[in-house]
Amino acid sequence: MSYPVELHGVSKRYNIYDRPVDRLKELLWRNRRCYHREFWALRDLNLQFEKGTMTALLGPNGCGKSTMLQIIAGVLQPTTGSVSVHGRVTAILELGSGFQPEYTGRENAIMYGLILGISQEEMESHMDEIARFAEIGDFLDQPVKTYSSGMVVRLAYACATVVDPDILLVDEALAVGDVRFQKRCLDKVVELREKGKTIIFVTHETTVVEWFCHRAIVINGGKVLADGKVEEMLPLYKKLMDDPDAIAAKVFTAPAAAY
Amino acid sequence: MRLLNINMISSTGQEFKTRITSDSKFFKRLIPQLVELWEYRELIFFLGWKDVMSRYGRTSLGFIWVIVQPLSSLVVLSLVMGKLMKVSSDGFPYPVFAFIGILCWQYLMSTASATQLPGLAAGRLLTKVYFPPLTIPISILVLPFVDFLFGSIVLVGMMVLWHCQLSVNIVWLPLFLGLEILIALVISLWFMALTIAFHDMRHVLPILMQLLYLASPVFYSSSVVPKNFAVLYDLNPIACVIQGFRWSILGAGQPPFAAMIPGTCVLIVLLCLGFTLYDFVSRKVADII
Repeated sequence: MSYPVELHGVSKRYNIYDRPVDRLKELLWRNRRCYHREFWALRDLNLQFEKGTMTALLGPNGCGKSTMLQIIAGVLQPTTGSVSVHGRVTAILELGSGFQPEYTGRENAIMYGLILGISQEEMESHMDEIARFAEIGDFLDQPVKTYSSGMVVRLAYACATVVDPDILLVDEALAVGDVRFQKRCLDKVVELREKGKTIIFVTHETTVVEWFCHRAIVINGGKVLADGKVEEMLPLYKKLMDDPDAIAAKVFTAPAAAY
Repeated sequence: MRLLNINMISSTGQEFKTRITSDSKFFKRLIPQLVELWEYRELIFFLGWKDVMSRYGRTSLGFIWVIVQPLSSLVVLSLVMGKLMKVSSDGFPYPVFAFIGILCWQYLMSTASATQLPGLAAGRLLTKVYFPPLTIPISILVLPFVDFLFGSIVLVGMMVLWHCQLSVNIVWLPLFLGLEILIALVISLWFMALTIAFHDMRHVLPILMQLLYLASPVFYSSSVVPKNFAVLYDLNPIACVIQGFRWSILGAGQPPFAAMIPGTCVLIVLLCLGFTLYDFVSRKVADII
């Protein structure tokens, strides 16, 4: 059986250059000399996500959760390993990720749809639903730069959920909305889960995880620390958060391969 | 193996296209990329249309600026080059002759400057959501093209004013228009890729465009180029296309087809290199920015 989202040995390495000119130097030396250090954001992740489940990714800031979501969304390329994704992926990665501040809410929604391969016509037909869910009223035809941060995230949420995704990636997008909106977002997420969609959720709010998620994965320093039922993972996560020494240090290493 | 992203039949039974972004060679990926690009044509037009709307709708004098730009440069060139320096225009009225060059140049110049403005913003968009990266350099060609069309209306007016006969060579115009668009595409691919990779590019770009401007027969006729330099000169695709436009509209000079071959070859090589370069940079963009 194939899973909607599968990660096989995924690692992500960033080359860290101290100065921009180092990048140029390395290019001119055609990699015979090395001017960078490496940062491994993810190391050898092997994960499967089942259909109709809601998984929480837990871990300290900068442990690689967002990088992992970006790789699943197809925005980042893993350094090693492969990812296979079956179905339409929508992501709420950051506050209004990808919205153009000069465009109106309606135009941004249409562009969002076009980016996902949905025709302008179809997106227009969802527009009422988007406006209703985002509660932005007449601001729909105003540039997004005039929106409050809550409105932006509501619009992002409305766009991402209205297009009937098979896989929904949510990255700490709940924190901005007010309590009422958070509740409606969660209701929507649960509704999608019931419909058999796969949801991967990054949050620091353990209560949300406790109530809604089937599974939790604790990540630390780019590696999977533990993976399993929420009840078992939460104490582990809390222990990790209470112990500053346990949180993986972020170190740059010299490149492994000799040039 | 790098990333293998396969979208198959979704849970709703709706069929999704197969998207493969593996580490295979460029030419193996080119065809699927072009197919994907075709599926995203609506996005290209939407982005292009938005550019046009913000240009023509947001400024108070909107569309007047489009004509003022080439006209002001025409006035200066006509006075300095036409009247003072007496630059040859192969027997045609200098303003009309120069204006064809200016229109062609303006198209390339606005494309080049458009790569600077959204270059970084587009780069950021690419780090957030997946879509075919090639949509951006193609969509920025739309606005300069609309400007070009408006400029052509002015050209027609000028030809009536100076009693210029339209040449029968006009049937070849679409060929040169196609070449012009390809040159603009090369410029947009190269500059956008380089701007994303190296932020220093915005300082290099004006110098480069200045050199290209002088190396192309915008305000002079290519007939002034000495014979020994002609071979070198023909390597510049912009020179070919401007000569071609003048020949097809006014009937100026010889049929440029033989002289076009080297320039077109250079153009094709640059286009392929540009695709490779942009492809490489856009896959790394999330890492770089």
